[in-house]
Amino acid sequence: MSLSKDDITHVANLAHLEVSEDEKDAYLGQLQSIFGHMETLNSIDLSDVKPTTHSIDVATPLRDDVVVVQDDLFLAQNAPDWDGQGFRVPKIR
Amino acid sequence: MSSSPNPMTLSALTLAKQIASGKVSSVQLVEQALATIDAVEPKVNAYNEVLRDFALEKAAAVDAKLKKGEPVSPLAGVPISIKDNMNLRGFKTTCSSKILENFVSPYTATAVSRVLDHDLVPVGKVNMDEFAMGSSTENSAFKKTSNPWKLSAAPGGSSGGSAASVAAATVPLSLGSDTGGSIRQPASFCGLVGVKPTYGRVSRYGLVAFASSLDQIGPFARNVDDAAALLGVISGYDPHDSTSLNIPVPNYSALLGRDIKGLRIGIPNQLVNDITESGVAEAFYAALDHLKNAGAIVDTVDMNSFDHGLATYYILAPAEASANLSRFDGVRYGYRDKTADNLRDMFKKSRGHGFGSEVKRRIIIGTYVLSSGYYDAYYLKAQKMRTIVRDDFNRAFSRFDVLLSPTAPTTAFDLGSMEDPLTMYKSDVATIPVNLAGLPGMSIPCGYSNGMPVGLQVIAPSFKEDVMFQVGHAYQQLTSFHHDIPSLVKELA
Repeated sequence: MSLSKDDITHVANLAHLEVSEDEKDAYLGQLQSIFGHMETLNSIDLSDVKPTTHSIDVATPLRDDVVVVQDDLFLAQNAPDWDGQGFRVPKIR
Repeated sequence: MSSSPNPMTLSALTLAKQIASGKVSSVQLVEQALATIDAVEPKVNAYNEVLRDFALEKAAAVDAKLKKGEPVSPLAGVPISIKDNMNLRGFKTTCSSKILENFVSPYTATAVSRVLDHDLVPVGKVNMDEFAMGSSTENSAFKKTSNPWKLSAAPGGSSGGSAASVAAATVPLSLGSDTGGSIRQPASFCGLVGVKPTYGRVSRYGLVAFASSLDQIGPFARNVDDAAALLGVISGYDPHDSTSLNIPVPNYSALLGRDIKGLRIGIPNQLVNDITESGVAEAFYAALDHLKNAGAIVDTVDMNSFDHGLATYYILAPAEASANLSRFDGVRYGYRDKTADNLRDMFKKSRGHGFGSEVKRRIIIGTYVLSSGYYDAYYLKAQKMRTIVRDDFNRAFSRFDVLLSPTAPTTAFDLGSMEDPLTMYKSDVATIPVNLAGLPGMSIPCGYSNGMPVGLQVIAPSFKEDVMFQVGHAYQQLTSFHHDIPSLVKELA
């Protein structure tokens, strides 16, 4: 199955990533070659294999429901637009 | 403190003993580190930021502790560099990306806290491939780091700054991170010891996430003993990281010095059949001869799953990265594009302009393989392949105590020479399966090819870092590659 430029446009939209036409052209060849390499996985029978989602088997650890007071998080310093109580962003159009 | 050799070419444990005995102070060592940084940085460019005042204050505090006779850790007072994807409160953590160029960490990573609690002295944050994606450090948005062994060559990646800062003798230790080989491959390219521990050994809290099921923090050092000591400092359960292992930290140095007679070493055929650089193969087989002479039993083993390791990794890692990097949206921190007049465009432009091309490439791959209609074809298959890789290793470890291979199929390539991303990805073919299975792996220097360092990779079963170190230590008693210094450093003396 071959990747198209429309695929890149669609995926870039999903990922909220602006990609220029020049970048799409550059990526197309590279991505086709990378995905071509992934086709090797089709040569193996994986029908009876269980997927691995974690390297190690751990149960989710729990902690006591205790309030933790946090240090100054440098919100104002790191924020592009902080109004003292919240992060200001452009309107959703 | 200007006598040669440069003290940063000595073992970190030796330096710590000198500090503890009063032969030299931590402040003197840090001043030496800073002087070396000033001398080599114009050529090497390993550091994103040098923490001059912070380091001198910390060193003075360590010296004061010693003067009062307070007990200190076996690495106290030793300078160390930190890869710039680990948070240190009050200082910038950039991940070598424009998106985080001015981000000041509001907290400290657990591994870095442990380094500080053990009185090591961080002297700087070092360069890396942007968001840890790359194998040469050329994907840094800021600058290219050079390999101290040959300035026109890459130091490897993504922890290239870590490797270069140690190889250039600015510090004897560094903390890096490894997702598909990002500690081991630069260690190999720069003639150092680099360790990726068993997944879950070292807390990832405060490490900017790339692929959460694969990432691990680990040490760079000049020799195995130092690496084992530093790993002991940073390891251990952390309630902040739900993937950290709640098991006791063993004494990683316990087996150092134990002989390797009868130790069973397996050589995966898939990692030695296609070595393109003949000097790498020669150095590797010479290393095996040393180990055989020391009594180890060596045999080959077929690891068929390795043929699909690259494909598996380049589906899983970008998929996880696409999720982890979705937080960089210009809302609360990081680069924000100010020209957008609506929220969606702000997200797209901030991310589109802030991320470099390799990062964008991987986000696109990752989003694609997780998207509707493609999840089963790619992501699910890759997760199943991961089971097969793990089973392959389990089978091998029923016959062998450790597996050995060259860390990389070549020595350090020239900066600017790898135009095609897929070719670059292939330099990780030996290191990737280790991350997929969550196993511990280490690279140690084993010789030269075309004048550049060659690395020997040792892979152990889960939780068996001590066996890995035992083999490495035994090898370093028989060879002296770990004492070698690039001429760049010799010329400074």
